[in-house]
Amino acid sequence: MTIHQTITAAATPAEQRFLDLYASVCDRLPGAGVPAVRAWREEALDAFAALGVPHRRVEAWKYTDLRALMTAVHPLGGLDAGARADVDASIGRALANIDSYRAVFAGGKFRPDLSTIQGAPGISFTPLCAKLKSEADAAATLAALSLPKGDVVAALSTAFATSGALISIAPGKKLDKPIHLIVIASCEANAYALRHAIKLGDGAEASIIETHVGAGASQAWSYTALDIGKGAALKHARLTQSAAALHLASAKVTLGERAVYEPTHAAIGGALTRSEGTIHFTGPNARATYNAAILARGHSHVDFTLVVDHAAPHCESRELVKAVLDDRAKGVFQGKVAVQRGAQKTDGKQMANALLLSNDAEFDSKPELEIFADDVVCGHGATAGQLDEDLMFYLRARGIPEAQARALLIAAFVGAALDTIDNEGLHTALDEKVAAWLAAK
Amino acid sequence: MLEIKDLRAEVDGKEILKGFNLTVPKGEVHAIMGPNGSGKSTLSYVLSGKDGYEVTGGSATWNGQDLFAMSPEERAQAGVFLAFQYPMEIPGVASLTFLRAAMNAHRKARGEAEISIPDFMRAVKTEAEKLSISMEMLKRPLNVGFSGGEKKRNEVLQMALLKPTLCLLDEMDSGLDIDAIRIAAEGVNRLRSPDTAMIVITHYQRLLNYITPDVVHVMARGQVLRSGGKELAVELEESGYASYGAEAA
Repeated sequence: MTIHQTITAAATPAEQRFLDLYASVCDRLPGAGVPAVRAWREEALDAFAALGVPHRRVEAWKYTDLRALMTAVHPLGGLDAGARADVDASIGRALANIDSYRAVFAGGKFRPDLSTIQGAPGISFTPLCAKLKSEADAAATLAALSLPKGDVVAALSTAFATSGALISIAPGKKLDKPIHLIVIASCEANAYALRHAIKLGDGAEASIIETHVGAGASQAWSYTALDIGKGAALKHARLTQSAAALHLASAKVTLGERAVYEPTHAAIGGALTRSEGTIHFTGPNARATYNAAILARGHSHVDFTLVVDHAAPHCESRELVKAVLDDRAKGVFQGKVAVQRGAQKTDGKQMANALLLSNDAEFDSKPELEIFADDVVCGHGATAGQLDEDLMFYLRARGIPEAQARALLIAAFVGAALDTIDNEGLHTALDEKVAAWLAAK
Repeated sequence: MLEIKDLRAEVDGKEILKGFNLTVPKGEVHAIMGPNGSGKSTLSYVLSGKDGYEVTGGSATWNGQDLFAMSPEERAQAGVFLAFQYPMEIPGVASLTFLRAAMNAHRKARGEAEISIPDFMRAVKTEAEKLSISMEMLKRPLNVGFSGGEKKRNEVLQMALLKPTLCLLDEMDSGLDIDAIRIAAEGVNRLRSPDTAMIVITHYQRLLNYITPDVVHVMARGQVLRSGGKELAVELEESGYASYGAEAA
């Protein structure tokens, strides 16, 4: 006698929480009545279910055991009427005052009343939810919003997306001021999901600032697809700030030939911030310079994970990570550089430096090189250490009090990752954020 | 007046200063000369309060204030200034930022308001010009990529702006050529005043051609073994330190 048994992966409580959440909101999500939208979401939900909530035995999540760190999923926000939002109070006046084309998402919804991006010259902007209303619109829009394989955060962001920024910058257009994408969690008891897609036409030049602010223990997951055309250039600053919130972000960046991408990521605090990205070179002579700064104390956990995929020859990538970790905070940098066959003359370098201000702070750095071409220059380095006592003494011997000397040196350490920012207002605003973080101890 | 009495200090459990005595009245410049390992640099670190230099006995007072009861920053605010033998490079901190932080720390300690940016820039410019330091250089991170001479001039600039009353110059001439020594020494000479006491620590007599001391002390094995006028420095240059129980350097 033979026993036929079908084995299906049973959802553990970790996955079940998300599946239950979907079941409870699927009829109220934007485009719920549009079959194309529903199919798009459910394909993502299936992908999530197959991947499961990642844990430490999943290589890419080894240092960030999401299953252990995320023990509850909040009700989804952004389904009801817009919540109150005060941009100045949420992100700080210095950041709010940067002259920009502003797109504000508060409580999971686009807020036209707080935004200025609509109708900006050379920029096509649409909130995602506006494209989910009819079958025809949805079909055209969603065809371009495919789901990357094996990306849990992208899958969740897609399945639950209540909105997101769809931005397209016309070929050759050089923006006169930055686009500021401001994402504010308005309720600490909610989770928010957004899906963004940004496209720079060939030869376009733009600067994008993203500011993500949590509220209490709010949860946010987002996915951004970024397509940078031939000869286009994008400066991309991304700040995540909160005390106790959870941020899961994923971004997939595609660079055409001769494109230049200069991201600067900063994470200040947060219960859990995981920002993963892929930078994919598709044409020769493109360049990407990735800078990241982590400031974490208490029980914060900040994970920057980056894959640089050199699929074309003659491209250059640079990665610099500066982490300041105090108390029991944990910082993670996983940097993988993959050089595909034929990607000759690739020049890839990465460096991760951590400043550990307490014995219990932890920094995990995992560089990974995967090289299938023989004429390349690739290198990586990592350091972890404490404040230099000789430098401290030098400053104090000039009359600078110990706490101030410490703050000066820490700001200088982390500043190395922020110095590439050439927007003066943004630079000043970030310096202020760093100073405020240092003063809060 | 600086009064050091029977000072004993150790580093890593090893006694370096072994009953060191020195009195420097205001307005005087005293040179301390000695062979390598005699404890000259240790003395400067002990007086300025560096960690790891443990005072095990004796006292040091500046104008009656017990130096060892004060933190390094408090000593600096009380007028003590150590010009480092090897000034630190501090990446990411612009010289101007550092200078302003230091000047404001001193002002705050005196209960004064912060210096205004125009006043600050004016003061820096005036002193920097005297030392042939460009403002462009001061916008760069402190001492990063500076030559030995530039670093020492930067020390003198800090001294000129902070106006200390007790200057400890630790081997100011090391690694400098004659021109660089002259510029730095001229800067130091401008700061001599009836209210300022200076200790010039040096291995060679050369520096004392530019900064004329009132008194020269020979230091060896953690003590002052002999004191005299400036002619003592010339004598040492000729005879060396061998008669003080040190190997010829």
